[in-house]
Amino acid sequence: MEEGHENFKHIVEKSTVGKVVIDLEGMVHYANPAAYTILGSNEKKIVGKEFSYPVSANKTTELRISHEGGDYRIVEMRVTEIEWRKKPAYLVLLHDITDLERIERLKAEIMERQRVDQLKDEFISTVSHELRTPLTIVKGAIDNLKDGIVGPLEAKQVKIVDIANNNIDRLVKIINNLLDLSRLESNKALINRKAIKTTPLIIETVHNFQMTAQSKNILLEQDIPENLPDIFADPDLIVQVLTNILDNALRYAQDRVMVSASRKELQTSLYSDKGSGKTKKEPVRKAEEVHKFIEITIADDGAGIPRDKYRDLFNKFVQLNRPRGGAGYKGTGLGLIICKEIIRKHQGKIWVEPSPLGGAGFHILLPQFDETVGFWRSLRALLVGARKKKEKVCLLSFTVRNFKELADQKSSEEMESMLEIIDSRIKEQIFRKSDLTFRYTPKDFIVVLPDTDREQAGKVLKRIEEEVEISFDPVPSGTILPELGIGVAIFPDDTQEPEALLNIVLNMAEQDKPVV
Amino acid sequence: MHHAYTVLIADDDRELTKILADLLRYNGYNTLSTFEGIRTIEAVHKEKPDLIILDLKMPAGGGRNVLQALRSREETKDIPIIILSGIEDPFIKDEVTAAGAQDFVLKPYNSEDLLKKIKTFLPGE
Repeated sequence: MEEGHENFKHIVEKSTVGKVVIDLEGMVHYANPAAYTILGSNEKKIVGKEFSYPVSANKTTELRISHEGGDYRIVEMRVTEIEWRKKPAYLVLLHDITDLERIERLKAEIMERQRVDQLKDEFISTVSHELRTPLTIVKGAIDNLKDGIVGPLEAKQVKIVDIANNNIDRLVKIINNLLDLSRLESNKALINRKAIKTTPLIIETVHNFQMTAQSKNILLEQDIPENLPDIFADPDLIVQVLTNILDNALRYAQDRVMVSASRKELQTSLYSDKGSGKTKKEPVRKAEEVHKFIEITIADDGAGIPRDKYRDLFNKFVQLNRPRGGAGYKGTGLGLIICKEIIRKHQGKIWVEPSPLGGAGFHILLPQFDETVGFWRSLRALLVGARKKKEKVCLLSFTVRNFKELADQKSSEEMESMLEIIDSRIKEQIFRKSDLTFRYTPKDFIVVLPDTDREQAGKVLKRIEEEVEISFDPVPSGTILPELGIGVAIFPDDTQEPEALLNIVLNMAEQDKPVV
Repeated sequence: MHHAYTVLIADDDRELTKILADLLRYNGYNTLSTFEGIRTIEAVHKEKPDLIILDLKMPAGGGRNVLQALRSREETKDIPIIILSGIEDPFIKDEVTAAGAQDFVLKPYNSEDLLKKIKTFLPGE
């Protein structure tokens, strides 16, 4: 009995729920440590004194208790009738719900912000549509005037019509920019990232400006290494950024614009890895935490940008009065903000520095394509799609099980050519555009087949197996042949997790041939 | 000598159809204008234009309905249709081409580009 009492006391003392016993006159007889904390007080100030808050039996009320120093707690107070030392009394239970309250408030704020964002998007797209209608007529009318459709114009009239025309075009650009920006900011923009060849992308974009450069007597040079690593990006959007910056550079340059690109390695990611496809659960992680980028620099020899304006440049509706080259030109004030948004969406960075040519130097960092990250991203996207469409997805693994043995016996060239054969045989048997192939490690070849069940997967497996076998037949005696282990997993039957799917097939292929 | 092609302009904005008609006539096309969906379908059946410039938002059957109606009938299913609309949606071009339109032009149009597009469907001279 004594022990039971001790236990009970211990529980009450350790409880995070504040417990206060008061008599019917409101005098406090007992309070546990949690109660002191919640009330922001101590034993001396509470026990034997009158309870400071109104108490009504069998009711739940919410209290805001102010502490010294400006802090406060939101408390749910529940009162029940009990007997204390043979006399009727109240037990007051105090639940600290401050954090819950804060979470609720945050939730409400987020919802409100989402609602406002949505309203803003709707507003911008409605306004844009409404503006387009009258704008179409004005632009059409001016075009017709300019083209002499309604009669020939005098030189003076042509000048006026040209001014009108340029400004209509500018208005159209502003509307388009506003829409672009609103979409990028609300994540509604379609960003279609894939591995793209960096060198030709830059060279072609620069090439498109050569005519403009010549007409302005500006030397547009480039220093782009051949075969830069691929970047993981939406080519249209990156071209949009480069075009914008180049257009500016040519506008402000005196005689020269220089475009260069190089590889860049940083110790840290520019942004958190959230959403980049790397999670702790992934079976294999790269040991080195070096993040690889491509840096593109567009430099001009214009008047440059004052240092204190560097930040403003990428903020909304800021246009600098840059002295040279800009005569008569008015931008939309949104171009660089859109560039910043686009680059940010690519986990990259854009900034401005003084250029070695004397003017402004715009720098863009874009992450290099990482095949592993790309694979995870594609696989995840594919599984999300399959879940929506209620389709099955099949993952296959072809693993060279005697890899070590082969490597010991063969030269590295022989090894590579043998693995190449396997790789190409697999790829030859994969016909659909939506199928995914990926060389996970030198010895593990992964195939992902959307909308494929176990039976269909079996057929593909058999085809690939036969093809690979034929490729290595006949062989001189004494040479060892690659021994292919095979793994199969079906989403969602086997598991829904991409990492687990991959683990299943890799383990299966490493051990025994599965029964398909 | 080729006979002049006839282009039907369907848009509920009469000022726009006038401006567009001026442009096209100046460039050697005959034009017809309609301002609502059902009249557009009737006009196509009656006049058999060589090409249609079609707005999406129109009274009495919008452009989508017109598109569907024209594509479902043997005698109108091959007439080239260019959608000219102020609806800016990343999917709109795919949507209207899937529904049978040949091209999509966002308002405001650029005269030169629009004429070029028309020419790809109405070659010769």
